[in-house]
Amino acid sequence: MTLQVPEPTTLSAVQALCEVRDPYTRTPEVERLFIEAMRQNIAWHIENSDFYRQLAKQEGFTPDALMTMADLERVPFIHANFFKTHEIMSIPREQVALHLTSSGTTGQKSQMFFDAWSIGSGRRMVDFMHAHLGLVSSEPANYLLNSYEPLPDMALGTANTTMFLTKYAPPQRVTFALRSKGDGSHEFDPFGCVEALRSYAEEGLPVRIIGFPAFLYFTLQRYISLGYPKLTLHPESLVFVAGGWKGHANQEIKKADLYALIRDWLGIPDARIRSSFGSVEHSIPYIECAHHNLHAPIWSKVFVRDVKTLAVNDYAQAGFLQFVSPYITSVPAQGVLMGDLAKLHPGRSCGCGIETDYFEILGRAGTSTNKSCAAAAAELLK
Amino acid sequence: MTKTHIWQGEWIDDATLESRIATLGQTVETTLANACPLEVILSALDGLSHDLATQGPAYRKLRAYADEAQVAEHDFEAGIAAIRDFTARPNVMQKLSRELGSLDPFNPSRISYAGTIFESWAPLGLLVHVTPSNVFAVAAMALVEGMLSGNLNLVKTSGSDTLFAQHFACVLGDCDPTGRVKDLMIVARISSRRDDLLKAIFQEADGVSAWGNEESINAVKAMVPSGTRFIDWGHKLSFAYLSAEKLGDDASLEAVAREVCLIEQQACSSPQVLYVETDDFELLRSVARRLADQLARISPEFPLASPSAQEQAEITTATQLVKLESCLGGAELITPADGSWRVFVEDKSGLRASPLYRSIWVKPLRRSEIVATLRPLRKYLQTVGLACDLASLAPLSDAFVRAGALRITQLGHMVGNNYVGEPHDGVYPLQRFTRRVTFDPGETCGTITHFAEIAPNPFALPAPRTPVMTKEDFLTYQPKREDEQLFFSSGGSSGDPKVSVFTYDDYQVQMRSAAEGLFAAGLDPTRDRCVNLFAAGHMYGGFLSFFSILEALQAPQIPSGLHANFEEIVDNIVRQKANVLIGAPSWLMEFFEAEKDALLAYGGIEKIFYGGEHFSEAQRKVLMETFGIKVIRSATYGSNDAGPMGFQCEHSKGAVFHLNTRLQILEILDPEEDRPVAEGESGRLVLTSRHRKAMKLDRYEIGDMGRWVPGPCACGRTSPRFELQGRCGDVFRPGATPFFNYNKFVNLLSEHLDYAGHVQIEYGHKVETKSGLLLKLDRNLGLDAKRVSDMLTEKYKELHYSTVENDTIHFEVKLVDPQDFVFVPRSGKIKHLIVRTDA
Repeated sequence: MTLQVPEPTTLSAVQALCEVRDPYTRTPEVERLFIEAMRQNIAWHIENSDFYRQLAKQEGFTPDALMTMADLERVPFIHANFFKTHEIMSIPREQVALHLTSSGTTGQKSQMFFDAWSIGSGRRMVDFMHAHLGLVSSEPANYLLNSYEPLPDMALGTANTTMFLTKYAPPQRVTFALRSKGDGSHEFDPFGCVEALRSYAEEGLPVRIIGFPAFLYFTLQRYISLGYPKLTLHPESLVFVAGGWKGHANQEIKKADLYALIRDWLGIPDARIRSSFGSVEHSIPYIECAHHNLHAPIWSKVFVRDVKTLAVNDYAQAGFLQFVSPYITSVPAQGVLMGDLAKLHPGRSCGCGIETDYFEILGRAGTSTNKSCAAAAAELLK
Repeated sequence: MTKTHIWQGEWIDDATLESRIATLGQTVETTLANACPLEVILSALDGLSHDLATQGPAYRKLRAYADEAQVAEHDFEAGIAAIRDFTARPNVMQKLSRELGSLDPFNPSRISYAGTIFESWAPLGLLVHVTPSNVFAVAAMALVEGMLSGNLNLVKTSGSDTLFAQHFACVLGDCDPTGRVKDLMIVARISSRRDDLLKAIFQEADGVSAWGNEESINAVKAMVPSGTRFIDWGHKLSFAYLSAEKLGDDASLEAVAREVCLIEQQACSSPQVLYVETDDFELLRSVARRLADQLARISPEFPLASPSAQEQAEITTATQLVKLESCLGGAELITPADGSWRVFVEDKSGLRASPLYRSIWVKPLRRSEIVATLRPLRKYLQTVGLACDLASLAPLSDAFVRAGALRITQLGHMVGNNYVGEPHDGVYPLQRFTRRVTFDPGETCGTITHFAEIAPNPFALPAPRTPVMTKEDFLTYQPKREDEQLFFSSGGSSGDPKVSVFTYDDYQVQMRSAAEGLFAAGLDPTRDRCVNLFAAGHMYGGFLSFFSILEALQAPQIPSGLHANFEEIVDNIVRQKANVLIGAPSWLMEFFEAEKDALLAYGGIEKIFYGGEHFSEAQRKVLMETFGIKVIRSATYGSNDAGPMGFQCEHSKGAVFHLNTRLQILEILDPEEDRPVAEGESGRLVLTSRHRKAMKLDRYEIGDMGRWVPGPCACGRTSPRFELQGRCGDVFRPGATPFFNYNKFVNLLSEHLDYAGHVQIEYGHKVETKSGLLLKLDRNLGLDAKRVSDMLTEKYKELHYSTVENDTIHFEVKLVDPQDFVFVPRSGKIKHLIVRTDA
């Protein structure tokens, strides 16, 4: 079944933009399509969401204000946290194909709703990116998934993403790091992970390790302390880091150090280790290039905004990370202001060949001082 | 390796720290076995306080370090000011009194004069403090509170902290000449990655006191073994409440605006929410706008501090969210163009934290919803700034307390405005750092009132190194006006009136101590019924102090007072079945003499406790043999000047007393020079009062002579003993003659002639060329003047010398009527010596 926007005529540019296969070549045509798609997307949400209509009115913003790429910074932005406490939808409930919650550590969970188009086109972008980056293979691979063993009704966004990511090489065997205990909860299983690596190494197939970096790190630590020898996994093996250190933040090590551990103990080449960035509120994933930088694909425009004034920052100036993308039709999250601090860099300065801008994540924005109180309070607001 | 830790006065490095942590258990045992007396700690703290107030060596060292560590000057001075106040002696004593109810908290003391139960506070042992980053004053205060509660303290600072706490421990240790205070402090900078070290420390801890946010506190708690007392000081939220009757009050809104701007709302008592008692969103908005008007006016008065990038991000995020919320209705953002403050209006009651730096929520809350809305967040509630009228005060206060609030105060008083001894987050910290322990030794304890008085090696407080204070100094001492609460006239035998000033607190502490002494002397509150026969009125201290002493003992008391209506007094005694008389010897002898028949008929008097002067042996004999009195002891040795000084136990004879060590430090000095008297010799008694705020009595020469009585007392008390040997003023010199002592005359008359009556001496007059010495005795007691004269001349060596061997004194014995004796009107005591100025 072909993927189609909810309204083919009024969202034609959105459809067309999301069908472009080359993720990283921003031609003038692509830019024109992007702007047209944004105008259509905004008109769509103004029409279908009372909230967004009011916001656009308050901001004095209309779609025809968007003429060039430079105008994109005027698109009203909505802070990701807003979705934690409100269900904002631009589609009727019957059209919700997927309802995802994020695994927030502050106890507050985002509620994001996706229609078939939004989730489908987002996933397709991931397909395009994997293909372009050479991460797709027809050869079977053994998977170690640093994620939650799925349960039938699990709505966690992360688990969903991980399962989806086994499609880029046919799965021979799949081992989950977080095993289901049968009562709805999960437990990290380091011995199981270590055994999986050992038997995968013996089998000799490419190994794909996907998911949270913390569990990969713990697995490697356990492997090392058990005294096993260094491995050299199949050269087509891949480590795909998705998600942050979250609740294990106090044990986080630098990315460079983790990569060095992986190269050293698993023998996986540097170019085959890729981290990614994504969030439920803005479900386009960003995948590291061969030089480990997160370039924006053509379906999204990345800004960094001053923490006080929210004006757009120059390159290399830290501020709030913001994404502008017209793909999403279910929720007016086309201009999401993230709770992360980041810096933007010009694509060329990376040297990998991709020319779209890339961003560097610096950490969460804001103080945790009152977060516990805030979290407790937020629970009561529901 | 650099030395970044302080371990009991020594700078050490990481490797040494680790090895010492391995033997921490032994260190704790050894340190606590040699418990540092509280007084030593108080002295060191007070020394530090003075140093900080006068920018002395400790201040300069801390300042030098702060400059090196680039601590902002304003932060440094604020921290130092807080520490200076925190350690000042009056504040420390107030804190001990309020929080532990005692200035001698670790000394097991009777809880009642009936029964044998003693209680005291006891330290936990090793108290570990996990302090918040970058607030150095907290670590300092943790050490102080930890020491006041008798513990060995280990402060764990974070990897990112300066070494201020370590330097503080050093300078505080330096303020203690005994070198014991430093042993109570360990300050270690341990990164949170060294869980292994922390766990090892927690294994030995008896208490862990942790500051921080919920996450860090939980992380600490997870490492603390169960059974170890865990004391947490988590983040708190405070808010203001404007009741319906105050909605129109702009002064209240101004007060809120000020507290929002003050120190950028960084205190846990700063208001983060203004609750308004209304249902009406429009009314809520109008109050919010009026608050915004106040902020617009007031905010510029407070210089803006810049939040860190993270803090700014938090502010922007919160502001954005309110803005978005307003699109849905039920919310409004009010903020000026420069974004220097912000009011978040929201039509929901739920309590929320604000991102601070002049951010305040305005929300509705009906009083009937207070408990339901706020109780779920009770762990975080601290201060409520309440604006309401009197009718609402009780119900609203009750609702907030039930919801979990700990401190309810006025708008404008939420931040700062703390008083010494105020509970913190609902508890008295010193009680959280101690245990309450009980003892019931049974009959063995006799009349012991506290364990310090039977300690084998009692700690002797040194006297201050100041000059001896004379009576002149006493007379000219000017108390502070606020300390002048009780004025007593001194009824000294030498006759001149003096005023001795006390605070009520001074007085009460002294009376409780004197009560302990009277109990030791044998007053049994469960059996005895006492008549208080001391003089009252005219600012006399006698009656009042014994009233209070008997009250402290809860002993039944007939408050008769001293007066001439002997019949009435006898009637009181008989009617109320009194068995104990408390009064002055001179008056008591007269009373017994005058009412002999009635008293013999009654026969119920068993005990006499006396004060002010002494009974002679002859007088005692009369009372015991004629009237059957079984116990005659001093009620207390004290004076209106210095308060109670000594007491007698059941084994004390004559004029031997135990020192009231809880109240006094005693020195016996050489009669001429300021040095301790030679062993066994008599000297002048010099007292230093440990508890006298109104008049500082340091090394006060009380005017009495005495000598030390060495060796243990049969009662088991190890407190020092001394023997009184009369007034310094009882020594006199009629002319160019040797010194004579009034008491010697009394003793000789008692010993050789069984004379128990009044004795009075006049001197200073001349008879022809000789110095006169006139001895007046009661004519009605069967004496013969010549016999008296002959006996005295024979037995009194100096008298023999001045009359028989040399003819320098004209000695005369005169028998007089009782009314011819001169008495001191104030006290009813006889004047020992009268100086005649006639030729």
